[in-house]
Amino acid sequence: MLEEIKLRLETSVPGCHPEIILNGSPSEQHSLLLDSAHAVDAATFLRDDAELRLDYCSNVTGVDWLQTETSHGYLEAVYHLYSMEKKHGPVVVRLRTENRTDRIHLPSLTPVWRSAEFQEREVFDLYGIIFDGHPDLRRILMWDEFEDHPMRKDYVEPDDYEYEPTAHDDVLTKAKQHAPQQQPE
Amino acid sequence: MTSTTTTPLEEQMHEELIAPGGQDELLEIALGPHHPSTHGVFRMDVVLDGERVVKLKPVFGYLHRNHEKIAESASYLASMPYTDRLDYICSLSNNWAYALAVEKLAGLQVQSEPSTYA
Repeated sequence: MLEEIKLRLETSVPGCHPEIILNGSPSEQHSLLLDSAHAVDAATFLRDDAELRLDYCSNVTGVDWLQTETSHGYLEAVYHLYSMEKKHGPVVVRLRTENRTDRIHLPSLTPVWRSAEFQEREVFDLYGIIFDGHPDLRRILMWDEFEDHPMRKDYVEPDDYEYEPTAHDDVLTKAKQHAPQQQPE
Repeated sequence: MTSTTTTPLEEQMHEELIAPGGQDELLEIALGPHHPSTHGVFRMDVVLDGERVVKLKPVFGYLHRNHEKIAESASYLASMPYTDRLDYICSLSNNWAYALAVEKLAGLQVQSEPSTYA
């Protein structure tokens, strides 16, 4: 089915060249990688096409791919699409950032599927992907003053989330691990 | 009463928000459980024109414990009790969805009626 969708996207959305990402696990949930420049047009096509009618975006999540020997690492936003009208799905669509540090913008698909609004906020909050065109991109789970993105693979959790003047027990153990020189003898 | 979770009411927005037949005076309040023991739970920042709600922003609060983060350092089986706590009203359906997801991920075939342990 993905092959067919890929062909139809290529003919219907000029310049769009989706790539099929194979999933080698037993679930075999293969997905379609869209390029950022044509993502909104492609998504609109997927939603409005008479045969596909993927009118329901059930889930949006993120994936953090760390740097490996062959790749410099990137972040992905993954959308699970279903059709309420045609009763088929899921079709899994991915968007990929250029890297994990400074080029982390992706087009928001909230204008296409309104249900993506809060979940894109969640991906922004936990993975740090910036969705251009999102109507209200704020943190949703973490508090406004929080600075990191907890679901990134290289996230280091603080010794303690709540300030306490004298560290003890687990917190003290963690503090000693990364700052032994600050501990009194 | 204002909060950082709703944008300040600007003049232009003010004009747009006035309800037909409203009282031309907007009030922004936090609607939700107001009890000291329920801090950090879901609430809504609403903008009222008289008694009409003209704008509403849901604020999730801090009940979300990010089970997916906890699951990173737990086994598949150890994550199961956390799915109970996603929603106390429908624990079983969350268990079920999680079990199905793990089975699908691992390619496990489970018989539909586990009647005997023979």
